[in-house]
Amino acid sequence: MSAFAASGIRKAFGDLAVLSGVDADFPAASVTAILGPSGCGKTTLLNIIAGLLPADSGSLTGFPEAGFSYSFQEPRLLPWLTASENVAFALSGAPGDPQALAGRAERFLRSAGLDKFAGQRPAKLSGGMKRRLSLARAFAYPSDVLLLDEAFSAVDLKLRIELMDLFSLLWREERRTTIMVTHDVQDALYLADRVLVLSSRPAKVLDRLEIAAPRESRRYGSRDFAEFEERLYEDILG
Amino acid sequence: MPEARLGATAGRFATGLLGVGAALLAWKLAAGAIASPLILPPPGEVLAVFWRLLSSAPFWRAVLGTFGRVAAAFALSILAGTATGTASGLSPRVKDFLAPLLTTIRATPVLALILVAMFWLPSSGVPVFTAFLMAYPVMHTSVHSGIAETDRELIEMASVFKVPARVRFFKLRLPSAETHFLAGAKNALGMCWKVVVAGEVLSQPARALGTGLQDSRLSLDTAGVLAWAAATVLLCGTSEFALGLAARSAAKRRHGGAA
Repeated sequence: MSAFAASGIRKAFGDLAVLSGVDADFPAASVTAILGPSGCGKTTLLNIIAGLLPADSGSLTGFPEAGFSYSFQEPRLLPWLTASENVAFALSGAPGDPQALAGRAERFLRSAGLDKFAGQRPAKLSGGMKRRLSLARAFAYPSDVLLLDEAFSAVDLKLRIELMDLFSLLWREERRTTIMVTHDVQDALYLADRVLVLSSRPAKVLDRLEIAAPRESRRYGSRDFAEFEERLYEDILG
Repeated sequence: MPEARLGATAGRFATGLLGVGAALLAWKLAAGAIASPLILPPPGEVLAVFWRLLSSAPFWRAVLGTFGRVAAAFALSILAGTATGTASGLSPRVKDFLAPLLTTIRATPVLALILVAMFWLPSSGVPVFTAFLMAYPVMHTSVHSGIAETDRELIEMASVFKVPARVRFFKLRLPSAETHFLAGAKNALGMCWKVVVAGEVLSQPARALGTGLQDSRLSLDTAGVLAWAAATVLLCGTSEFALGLAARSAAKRRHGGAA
């Protein structure tokens, strides 16, 4: 049985039904990608899991007691704080000894290659560095569940792969139960252990896929997963 | 690049100077045409009176007195406006509670406030009280907007990471309101100078620019009135400029030179 699960999750905004009974489980210390067409309710599901939105019906197991960290599509950094202060801001409510938390912040900044820029404010960082900082912040927070909402999208391919490789590196350092929302099949195949495919709105789980190959051996866009790829495209495009 | 910026600044300054020159020329021509210093003295005469004022001790005592009143009214409006603006930015209920009071203050003519204050307060308190009442809603509204318009995405991020309310307030809400706060403070300061001097004209406290204005008017000294008014404009402009400089340097420090 999985540590974290969602069952029968329904959500509507007024007359607009977004989720119509989503059932999913999320094994501990694994990366689950939620894949689906734009606007199908992936982020809504993520926000319900994080407790930012209430579900109309359905239940969550494990999530209500869990601590979350989040990496968003936009880095969401406070422009008046330095890189290290931005991480410290997020960690200010984290459970644990403050000194140990400061140590974590330093460690993940270093792992993300940002230790030399710890004293710089976001205006002085490149777009890629801001994204890396957002990932480092999410890992530095000692959460039970890491949520990634299109954290690798809206950047060029080279930076996208760099960011995903950084994620893998940080994840190996601390294997965190991760749920990533993406609309990109290649991203899901590159990073996830499991893929859940949501249907168009009102969404429910259309398909589930297990990817056994170790993440380290995968190459972005390779044909090694052609079969999976075809199946996922078929799911999404119908 | 810095040379180009310097050149642009010098160009703007020269254009401004040209505008001042044109206004002075128009004034001089109008004074010549009217040919009555009681109605419109020429700029040279006003400048001579202004120069005499600068070398007189009562003028500087008046400057100090008025400056003190402006500082008191400004500080009060900053304190009260920040307190209630923050509360109403965080709570719609507080906003609704304060709305009728603020609307009433905003709609009341400044002269009515001065006249009422003259019944209640000593002459030196009237300008402070009136300026406070005029500047307070400006500060309140600015701070309210700054707090209420904090980036929703940053608030959501702070919620996910369970950032404590105190840290959220001091590190997210307050810095977000900085730009609004500074814009409000600049407006409030200008308003304090104008209203304090207007209050002084009517309440006649000792050591006040407004009292100097009124005394000159009673002596039918139009050049004196204009010289006292010029002193007020210069002091108001200088203090607004100093506040702007301080604000810019604070913003530069906070944003690491990207302000």
